[in-house]
Amino acid sequence: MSADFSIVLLFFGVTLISVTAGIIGYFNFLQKKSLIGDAVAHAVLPGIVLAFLFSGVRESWILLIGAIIAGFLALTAISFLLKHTKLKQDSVIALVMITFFSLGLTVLSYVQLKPLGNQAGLTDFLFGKIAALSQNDLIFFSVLCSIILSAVFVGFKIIFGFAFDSSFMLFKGFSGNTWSFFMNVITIIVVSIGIQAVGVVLMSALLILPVTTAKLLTNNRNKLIVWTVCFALFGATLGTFISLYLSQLPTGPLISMILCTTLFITAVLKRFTLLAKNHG
Amino acid sequence: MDEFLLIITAILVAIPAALLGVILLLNKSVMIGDAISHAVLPGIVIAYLIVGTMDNTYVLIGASIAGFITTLLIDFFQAKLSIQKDAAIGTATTFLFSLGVLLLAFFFGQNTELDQECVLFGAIETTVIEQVLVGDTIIGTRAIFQLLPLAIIVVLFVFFGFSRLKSWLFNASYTSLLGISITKWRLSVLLLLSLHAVLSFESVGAVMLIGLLVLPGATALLLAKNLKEAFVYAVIIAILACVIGVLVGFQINVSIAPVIIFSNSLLFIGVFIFDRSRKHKLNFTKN
Repeated sequence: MSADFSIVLLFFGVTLISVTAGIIGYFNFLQKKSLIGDAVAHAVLPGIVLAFLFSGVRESWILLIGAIIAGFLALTAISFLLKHTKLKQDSVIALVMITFFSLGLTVLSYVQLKPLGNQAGLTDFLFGKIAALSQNDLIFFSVLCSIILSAVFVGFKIIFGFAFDSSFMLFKGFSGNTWSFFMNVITIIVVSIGIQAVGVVLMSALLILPVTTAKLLTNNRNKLIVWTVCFALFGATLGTFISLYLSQLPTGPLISMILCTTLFITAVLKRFTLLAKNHG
Repeated sequence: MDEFLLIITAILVAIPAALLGVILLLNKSVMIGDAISHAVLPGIVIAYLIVGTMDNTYVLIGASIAGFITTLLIDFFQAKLSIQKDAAIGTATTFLFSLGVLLLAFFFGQNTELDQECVLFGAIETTVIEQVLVGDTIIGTRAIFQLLPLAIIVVLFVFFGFSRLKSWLFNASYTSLLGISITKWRLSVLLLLSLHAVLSFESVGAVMLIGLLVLPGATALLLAKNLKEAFVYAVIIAILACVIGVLVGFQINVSIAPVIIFSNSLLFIGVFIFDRSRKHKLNFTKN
């Protein structure tokens, strides 16, 4: 395979991942649960590191299974603690997130001492390095993202309904547990994929920023999702492009920075057009 | 001796964090604490770029300003751009943190005293190298003497401001009705938090400080019956976790900061289970 093909694949994979993340972020945003993505991103770290420790190989699907298990445990712990303690939601999220993350870092610093070879790639999970993704990884992730995107597309009305007004949907006879389970599963899968590209610490940028920027422009449901996809596409493409040329810069912060700059520019433009309208 | 010095250092980081954490937990602004602890990173990097050394008051000032800007940024997002609270916090955090990491990667590459791993793990182990000697006896390390003043200030702040804090955390609108300025109290807590985030950056890094803030407080709130107990329990739990963390970390030879946080988590889980079984027993005897 030629170098051109692998670069095209890289662009395709990263944009697909970030578009999927943007759409998941859109639903989390509507539920005012944007920080849950951040929590899951931190919480899957022990899963990834332990999966590596037990299997001894850096195969992305093994790490993905570990990540999904850890993410699932974390979300279960969050809902359990919310039900059984008086602690507030943000405290519980922070508490569970840092518990998992510190366990992950402990095991990671243990793994780094062992002569296992090939573990250098594990620290890439923290800040992200798209150059470390192999072609097989990218193809695997693209297929998974496509499956998730089509699942979301098929169930769009119901998911949107739950995100927008869950009591109405319950009233209409849909099962709340099933759909929140479904949303949790796809959030975990998308985050687990996404952190291999942009890293644990800034995964939440991919989830939060596109939809936040889009919300500045419109309140219409369909326009909102279109703008979200546009911003996610833009950030991913430009971020990948720059990080291919300036390879010492980590990809995650780069994409996050581009998305933030877009947000600020959009905000400024919006204020100017509003001012112009008011004066005109 | 090294263990002892490390335990002292860790405790000096953990006590103010635990006290401020209780305030944040009761004030429902835990995530703002997380945002501040992430946001001091660009402040530290920029100040380091300008001044050129790590142990300098300018770094402290620069980074505290950055921590403070975060809160202003979050308020700005909420008030002027009408972004909802969770997204506003997420945006501010990711913006400042990615700025910090990018500056770090761009200007320092991989191998400096301000490297990317330090941001995550902290480097509490290396603080024992710089010892302060009086004659031949070791009386502490540079890190200990850096951390000590703020720890004392936070303890005094909570001790003397206790009644005001209590009324603010219990009912903010009533407190402002009494003529006590809530904004002043909130800002001083956030200022202490930024200062603490900068000083503890060397020991626990930017990402894990939230653990020291939220975990002892959450454990204490499970046990405590009133605010005074909450503060006292939080400090006791924080100290306990530091001792366990340093000793265990030394035994199995891993990074100490994550182990301290994780022992805090284990204490939380232990207290949670104990608390629930106690409540079940009470219910059982009642019925």
